[in-house]
Amino acid sequence: MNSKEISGATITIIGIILLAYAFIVGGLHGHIGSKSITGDAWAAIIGWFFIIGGPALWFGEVPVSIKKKVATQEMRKEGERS
Amino acid sequence: MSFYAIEILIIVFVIYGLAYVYYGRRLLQNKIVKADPNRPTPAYTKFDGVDYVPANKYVLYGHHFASIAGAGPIIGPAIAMSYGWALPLIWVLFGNVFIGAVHDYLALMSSVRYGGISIMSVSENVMGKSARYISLAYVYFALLLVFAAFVSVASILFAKIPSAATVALIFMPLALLFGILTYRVGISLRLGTIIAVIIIVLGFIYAYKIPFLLGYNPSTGAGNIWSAYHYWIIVLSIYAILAASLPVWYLLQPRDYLNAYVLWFFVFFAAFGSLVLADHKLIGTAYTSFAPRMAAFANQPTYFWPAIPLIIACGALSGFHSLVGSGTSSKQLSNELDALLVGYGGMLTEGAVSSMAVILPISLAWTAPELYKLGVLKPGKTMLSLSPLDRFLVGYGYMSGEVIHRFGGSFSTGFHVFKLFAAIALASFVLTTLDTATRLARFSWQEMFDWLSTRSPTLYKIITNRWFASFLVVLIGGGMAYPVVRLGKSLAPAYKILWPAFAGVNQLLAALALLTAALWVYAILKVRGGENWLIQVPAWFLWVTVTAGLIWWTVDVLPKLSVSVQKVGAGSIVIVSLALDFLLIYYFVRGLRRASKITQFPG
Repeated sequence: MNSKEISGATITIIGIILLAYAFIVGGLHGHIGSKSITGDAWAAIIGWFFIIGGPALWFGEVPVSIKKKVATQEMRKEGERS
Repeated sequence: MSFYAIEILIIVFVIYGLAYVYYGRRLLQNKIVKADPNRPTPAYTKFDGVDYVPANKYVLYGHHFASIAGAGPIIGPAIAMSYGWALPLIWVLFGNVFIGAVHDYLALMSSVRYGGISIMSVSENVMGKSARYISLAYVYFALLLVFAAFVSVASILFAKIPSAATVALIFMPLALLFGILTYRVGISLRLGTIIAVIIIVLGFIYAYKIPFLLGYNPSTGAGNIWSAYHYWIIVLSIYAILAASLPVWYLLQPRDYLNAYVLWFFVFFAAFGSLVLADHKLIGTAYTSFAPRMAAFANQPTYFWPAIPLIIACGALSGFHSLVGSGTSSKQLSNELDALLVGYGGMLTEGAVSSMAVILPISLAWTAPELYKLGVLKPGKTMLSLSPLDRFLVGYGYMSGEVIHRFGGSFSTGFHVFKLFAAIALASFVLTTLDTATRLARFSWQEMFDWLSTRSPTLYKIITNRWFASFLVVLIGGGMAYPVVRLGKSLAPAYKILWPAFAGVNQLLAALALLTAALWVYAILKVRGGENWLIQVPAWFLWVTVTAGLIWWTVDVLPKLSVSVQKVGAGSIVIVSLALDFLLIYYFVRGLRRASKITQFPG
């Protein structure tokens, strides 16, 4: 893992922990957040953004399945040309 | 004459089924566009791993459908119920089949044939360079307004119905997980879908019990709703930048694919409701008046023609769809044959949302005794006494509550659960449209500056950087949505100063996109005879209708707007739009004359 992937993994894991915390606290209180911005609301929002952004660094590259699909199509095209 | 729900359901299915096979496949796909499964699509030829990425056709259908279905297919028909249910239904059925779905399909396919560029850039090939840049600037502005409206609607929805916010909190990470499972881990689409659908159902149950409050509690009234609104504007703006800049395979494709299941369930449950309540008559009035007075049009007599496209957009036809088709969808289309399901089928599905999930339930609930007992309707009042949003929520809730009651459950519980579900479905539509609109505005921005790419490559790179371009959209659009101003007697988000003009801007875009596509069919595809007229006539009908609608709005409605700042804001936009309308029609006619000289076929 390079440093980008490590930071992506770290952000993702922190995001999961924060979101899980918000869901558990929400389950105990009957709601996440309140009439003011409480800790669990902050945790939910930050965790949400971390989970959306983190895996982009962690798994950043185009998945192999898509690359393969494009390569196959390109090869077919080359074959048709020749 | 009275109708049963089942009769309407059969009519809708038969018309859409025949349209898909005969009008869509045989005419548009096989005879006009001559779609070729062996022709490489831009997703392969211009693959970049970010915007140009081939997608499974069902995934792309989910994306396209969820993106084009903003609040329009719901709120528009709910407003149009002032005509009774018959006229809106006729417009949704026939406008959709002959204009809207044709418009969407041709916008998608013309873009695919030109390497995935927007329909505005396609216009350069048939109308010239000036038409292209004028259209791009116009569309960019329209998309800023769309962003402002949708971020505002989503924020108000989340502040007022916080359980919908909890669903969003669960749904986005789930979509990422789904994408990683299918693209990275390599599990099958079917297994991934089953896992995700189970989590969505559990998430919905959790959200029903646990709302996400951000500074306001609607059930107790504690806190300040405008504070919550502002918090949500900020949160959703950051979300939009992320979602619009990250690669499509990462969030957009899996999210929209899963979203489509939620939305399909939403439509199918409505259809199922019509089957279960087959013996229920539509108690709503079929026809009230050809020109009822509507609050959305300053309480002026609103003539069905030419006003209807300004009222019902997405359910029948909408200019925004041409931007999605020629924006995100054309860059992900894996095979030309998939375009029928994505472009034509996606639009028919949206018509099904309007007809089966909005018009039908509202007509069933019109003066239902249960709604008086629950206190939803006041004595002597009909569904028309509710706001358009509440007409939809109550109508859907009523229909579902009756279905639950038929199976031995409580009407009241079914009503409340499905009313919430309808709100969540609406939030799903809105949120998807929000980040797609941001991405589309980014594309327009990038295309607007393509002339810089050879003159100053470095500057071009900076200006068209995807993060910067998305940020700019959010900054301007969010800037229109964030401030709360006093409009007349009530407070409203600032973008509402311009909003009365949006319907006209959007539908003028539809007319111009369809004219561009019609010119492409005539000049480039060289289609002649009856098949050509089947495209030209709806295109001209739409242009005449929308132009007449804009003139009617300027003459009848504009002077009667009660807020003077709206008169200036919205009025100037409509007048500029009309000027642009005639300028672009000049380019169109010029393009038509030159058509015989155009011989090259794009690669």
